[in-house]
Amino acid sequence: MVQFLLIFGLLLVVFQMFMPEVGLIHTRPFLLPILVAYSALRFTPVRALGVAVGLGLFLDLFSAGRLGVSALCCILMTLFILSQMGDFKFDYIPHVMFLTLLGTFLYLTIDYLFFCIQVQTWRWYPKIWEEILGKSLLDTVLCVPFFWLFDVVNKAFLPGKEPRSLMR
Amino acid sequence: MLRSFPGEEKALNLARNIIIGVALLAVVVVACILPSPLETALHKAAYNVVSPLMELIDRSSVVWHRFQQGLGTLEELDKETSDLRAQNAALTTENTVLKDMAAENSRLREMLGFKKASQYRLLAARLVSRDPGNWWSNIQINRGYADDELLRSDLPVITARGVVGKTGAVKRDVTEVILMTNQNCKISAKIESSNEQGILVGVELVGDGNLDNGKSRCRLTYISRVAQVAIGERVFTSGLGGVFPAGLLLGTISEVPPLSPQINFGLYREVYVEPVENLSQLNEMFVVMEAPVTESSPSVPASGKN
Repeated sequence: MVQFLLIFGLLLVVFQMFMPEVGLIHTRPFLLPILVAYSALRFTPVRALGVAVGLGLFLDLFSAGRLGVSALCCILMTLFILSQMGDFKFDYIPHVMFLTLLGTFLYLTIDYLFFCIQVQTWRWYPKIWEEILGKSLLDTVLCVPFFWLFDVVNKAFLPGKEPRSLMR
Repeated sequence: MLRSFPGEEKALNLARNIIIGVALLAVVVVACILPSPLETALHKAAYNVVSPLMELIDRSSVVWHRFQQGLGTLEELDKETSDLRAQNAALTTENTVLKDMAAENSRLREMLGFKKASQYRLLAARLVSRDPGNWWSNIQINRGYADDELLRSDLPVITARGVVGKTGAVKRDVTEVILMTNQNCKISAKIESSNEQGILVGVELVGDGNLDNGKSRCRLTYISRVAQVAIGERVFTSGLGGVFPAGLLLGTISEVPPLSPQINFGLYREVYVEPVENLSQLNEMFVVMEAPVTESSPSVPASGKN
């Protein structure tokens, strides 16, 4: 399943380059945090961190930013979600959506912080918050079908083990 | 026979997890401190690996776009054709006049003992994709070193209206374009009316362009503090710096901040420039190549150095 998620992530990064703006949020969607959230919520911590590093490096390889920055953001997002293990039910859909929202918001905020450091400018416009919030909300909505799809694949790959399903 | 102690397996698991965690962190740290040439090589290799997939997606989108265009009514197509014919006739006439003027200019320069004006070849390109990251606004065009071996980084990229940016890393099938609103793109510029010279620098990028009151723009710095500048004045490339030929339109001055101790101090001042092209709506563009003009390729004359 880890391999599937990494290959899916690589394809998603390539498709990300062609994605047009979504009229509703006036920005391009950013779906990679959904995969990071899935691995954090479904896999063991070590595997989740492995997926986070892999996905982050994939994104960095195709982006103009410094190599390793997205990987760091993915790691921080994974650690944040893992730290909520006691407070939230990882198989309860509203909690999953809420954690995806918070995780994506955290990812994008840290990503912008790193961007500011790289371009050596410190400017936070209200429009940036709008963009971060728009992308986070889109991921929150889209995490439901994505999690369903990954759960189906997870079951197919590991028929003996029952993954934490959203449908419970 | 080895005897397993209670909790031994748990301790082993913990140790293994710690080792894997540290190894993952080491990978990220190494990635962060990689020297720039190696990082560029990795970027190129990654793009070369996925370029067939990118080409497939790009071609599919072109086919889809053509299909959508084909759905237009015959009447619309007829009108478009006649408009294009009229435009073609006008441009052909203009081109002939300009060619005559270029030839005359060349003769006059020769008579005055000036060095012959260098000519440039335009390589037509199309936008393929945008940066997958959130804050960088670099784009990729469908030309790489496989298409033209003279294609290299730091070549001007223009549209019919003016400058868009310059080429960055050149891969096999695609080339990165650093847009002029990117902070890494610095262009030697001059103001049309006063000939005041400065450096045009991109303001920080968000999404498909810079965000400052929701508009893409650049900053023209190092212009004289006493320079007379007004909103609406056009800004052109000055030809200094060696990357951009002189006389290419960059944009118009959109804001002239008042002189204040905080931002406009010392000997210089800065103004904001709105790019001539909407960088979020780019499609077709040209890379200005340094090469002798061939019969088939269009050319733009650029002023040579005295």
